[in-house]
Amino acid sequence: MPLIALDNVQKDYALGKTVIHAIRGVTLEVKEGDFLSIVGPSGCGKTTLLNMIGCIDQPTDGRVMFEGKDLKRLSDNAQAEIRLTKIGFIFQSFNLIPVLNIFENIELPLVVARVPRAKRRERVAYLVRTVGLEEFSDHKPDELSGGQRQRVAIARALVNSPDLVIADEPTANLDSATGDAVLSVMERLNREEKVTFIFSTHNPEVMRFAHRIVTLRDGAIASIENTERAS
Amino acid sequence: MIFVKMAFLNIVKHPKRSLLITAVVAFAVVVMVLVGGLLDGLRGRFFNSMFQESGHVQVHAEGYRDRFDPLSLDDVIDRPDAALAEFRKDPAAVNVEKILVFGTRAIFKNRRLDIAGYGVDPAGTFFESARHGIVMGSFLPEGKGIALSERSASLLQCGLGDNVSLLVAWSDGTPYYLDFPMTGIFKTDSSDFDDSHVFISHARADELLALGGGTIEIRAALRDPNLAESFVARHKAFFRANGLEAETWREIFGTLVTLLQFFDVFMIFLNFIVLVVAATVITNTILMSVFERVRDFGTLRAVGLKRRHVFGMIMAEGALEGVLGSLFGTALAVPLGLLVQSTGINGGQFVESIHLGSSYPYVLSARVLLLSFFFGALIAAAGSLYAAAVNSRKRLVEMLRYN
Repeated sequence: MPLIALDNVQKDYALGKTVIHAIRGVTLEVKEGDFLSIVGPSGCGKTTLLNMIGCIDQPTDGRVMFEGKDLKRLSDNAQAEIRLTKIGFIFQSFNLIPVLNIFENIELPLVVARVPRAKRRERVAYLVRTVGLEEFSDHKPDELSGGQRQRVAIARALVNSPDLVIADEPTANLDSATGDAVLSVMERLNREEKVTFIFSTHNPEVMRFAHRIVTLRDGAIASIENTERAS
Repeated sequence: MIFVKMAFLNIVKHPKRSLLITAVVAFAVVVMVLVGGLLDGLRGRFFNSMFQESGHVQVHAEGYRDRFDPLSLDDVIDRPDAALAEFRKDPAAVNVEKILVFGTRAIFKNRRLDIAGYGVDPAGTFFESARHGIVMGSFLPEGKGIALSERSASLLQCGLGDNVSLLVAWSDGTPYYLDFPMTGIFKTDSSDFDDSHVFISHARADELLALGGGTIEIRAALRDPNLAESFVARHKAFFRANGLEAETWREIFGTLVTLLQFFDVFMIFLNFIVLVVAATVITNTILMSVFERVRDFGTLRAVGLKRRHVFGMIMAEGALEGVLGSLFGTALAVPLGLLVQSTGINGGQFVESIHLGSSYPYVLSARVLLLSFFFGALIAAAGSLYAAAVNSRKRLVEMLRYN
């Protein structure tokens, strides 16, 4: 059973009297351990698709199956539970909580999941080390560079050991060297911890990290190609 | 704990906004404490004065209520001691005394003053304000002499030891007078009371008026004002058999009770207005604060918080600001209340006219403080309710896109 299965997914937005067809009949399967990139020009529907895969938005039509469950049929609380335990998010603009320090930002999902304090501290300390931010753990997000913030976002996305990490343009706000470093971290976690990654980008340099590249055009899949890293 | 910390840090991060909310709550708490203390003070003074001055039940000879002249001697209770014995047996009664009220002219040398005379039990407790308001001499020592207010003594230009004559007219019109040595000068907080009361012992008043052991009125103070009606009901047969009639405090002070009830409603309305204004300011401020952080709340929901968690966070933030505001408000209100309690609020003629002294009485009570604290925190929580509801209704995807 694939981790994610999209079956003829459509998403329409009403803009006044005009209906925008953001996603037009996307069918796609993502297996566990995949490192998948969704690419395409701005406005092609990458973020919309990721939002639906990540239980943040609902399709207008079609089904998004997560571990065989139709997300649309789940209650609001059940969806929140999936986001908490199964899916990690990395946002383009980091979305860190400004009043919490780095340690607390990463710890937050564990607090919500009621993980005991000692286990929380151990797990967060491990991830802080993994993303190379040991000396910044008591800093606030606005005291870090863009790359450092994105690494915090990665650590937060991974803290509950999710089955799937969704990253929406994770390197868009970073310089190329920092972007490469962030992607290297993601790739290493995919390789070593078998975490499934789906990330969107329109940067060809970033695509080379992916095992599979799904190209979207005008809300529909234009092509799916396996890269040489797929093996 | 982390959510409480987030609420606290959000409060610290936006000091102006937090200050505005806490200041509004504090202001509301101060107003509620002042208004509540004023209500309690007025009510307290009213019931206290009833207990110490007028009694909860007044018994007169039948026909007293219908007479034209309130100081007439036509309706006399002939056997007051039997009535006293009867009422003192009642378990609700704390104090029962006979009072002889009469009109008199006080004369000293060539000065005279028309005033109401009161023949009272020298060892009794009614008219406590005069008994405890003695500034010179003492109150009817050994039942002798006369007690006049400082103002009346000044008008008559007499002092302690001077003989003051009280001139009365018996019920058949015969004039009669007796001399009384001035044994006490009192001063109460009501100039209206001071101007209209002169005290002699009941026995001497009886002698002065030649009533042959009768009296005009019997007053009973009860352990609870609400027992007045049942007290009267219990003694109905005795009243009928002895040609007496009784009035409860509700009947005696009907207008005043209505006025106090109106005052209660007015004060509650004033409190309500303060609460509504405070809640409106708080709602708007918290709404502003929540709208600035819609994306943060979206992020929290994206990492797994449920709608109710985010709702609770906003409520917790409001409640925390409410508690802080209430603490500040209480810290301000306590010294202010104590100051007002010690000095009173000058009420002028109005308060005097309703026999509540020369100033608005004010009582700072723990009950009012606790209630004001509670309502202060509550309005902040209520103010957060709308913001929390608006925020929790938003779709997650909208929240994450929110700028």
